[in-house]
Amino acid sequence: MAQYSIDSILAHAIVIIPAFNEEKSIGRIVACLRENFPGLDVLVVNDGSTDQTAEVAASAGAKVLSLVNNMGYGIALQTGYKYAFARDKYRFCVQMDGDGQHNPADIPKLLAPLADDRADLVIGSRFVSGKNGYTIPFARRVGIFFFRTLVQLFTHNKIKDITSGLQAYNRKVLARYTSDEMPYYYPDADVLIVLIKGGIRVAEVSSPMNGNIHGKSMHNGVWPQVYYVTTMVLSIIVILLRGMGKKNAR
Amino acid sequence: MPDKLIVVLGIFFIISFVFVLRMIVKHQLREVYAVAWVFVTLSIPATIVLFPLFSKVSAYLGISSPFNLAVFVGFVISFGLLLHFSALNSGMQRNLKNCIQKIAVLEAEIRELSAKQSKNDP
Repeated sequence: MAQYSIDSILAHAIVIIPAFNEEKSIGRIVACLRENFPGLDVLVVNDGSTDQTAEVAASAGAKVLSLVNNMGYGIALQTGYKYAFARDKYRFCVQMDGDGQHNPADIPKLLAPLADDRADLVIGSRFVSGKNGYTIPFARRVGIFFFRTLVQLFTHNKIKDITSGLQAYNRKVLARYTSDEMPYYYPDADVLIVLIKGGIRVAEVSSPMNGNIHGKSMHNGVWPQVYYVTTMVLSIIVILLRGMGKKNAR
Repeated sequence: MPDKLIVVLGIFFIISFVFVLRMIVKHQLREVYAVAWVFVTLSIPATIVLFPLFSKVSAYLGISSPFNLAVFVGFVISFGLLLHFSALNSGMQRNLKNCIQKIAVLEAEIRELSAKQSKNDP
């Protein structure tokens, strides 16, 4: 694979931001991205928001895809992947959350290993430097530890932050993400297992997260957390039974 | 099987069978889903006819009453129905997802083309 400079990589990259009712934060994030990286395209996937998310994002300078219904985080993300994959211009993708927790200034740091062809997928990790702008709740830390152990067990890969929503990747990964075979519920540990088993090289760079400015997470509450853990474990079992990583590697 | 129960089951079968057929004719139930319900309604007369066999099977399995065996068979059928409709639902959800994604991408493409066209227009 050819090697790229950061400037050239920014001109061939797109930032995908799935957003559901994020009118309060999305404008600031898009404006910040457009101001700091004028050559970088920003795509907001409006996941059936009932507020002004789409309008705010578009007026801040983002391309907007609007889903007619609220389909969930994973499906919104995959829509963005499909849009980017259909356009040869985009050799690299960055995904980040629309709640303002990720720092746009870290984008070049994420893209650097892709530019040097040292990795296919780069994760912005909260745990590489150990510094964070907010405290991760205990239950979530236990969950992250559990799934990190599973990923390590099945891939022999020591990834510290397997649930980070800040990631960058090349078209090789994008092709896998757009496949209907890929788990799309919450693309976390299950997807990482498929990718690593399929020969995708994963790297981590430090990217401390800010607190959510609205204090709301999609995993808030006992039931969503139990549902998430159950679904993720089931998804991992199904992946292992299907031998999906090996199949994708072919 | 007691005669009264046969009459009640017979009436229930006729009503449910007619109801299912009526829904198919009125396009309220597609044939692909109706097959399972036709099967369920037909299982009622099958139970009446095969009840002596139920007695033998329940005695063989050590179930005290053939009615208990009928409840167990009902559970198995319900399980099959739930699985059948969950599988159909999963397929439909995948189609719906792809459809909604396609609409979103096409909508964006139309906007981009319109913007390009209005730039080119004198």
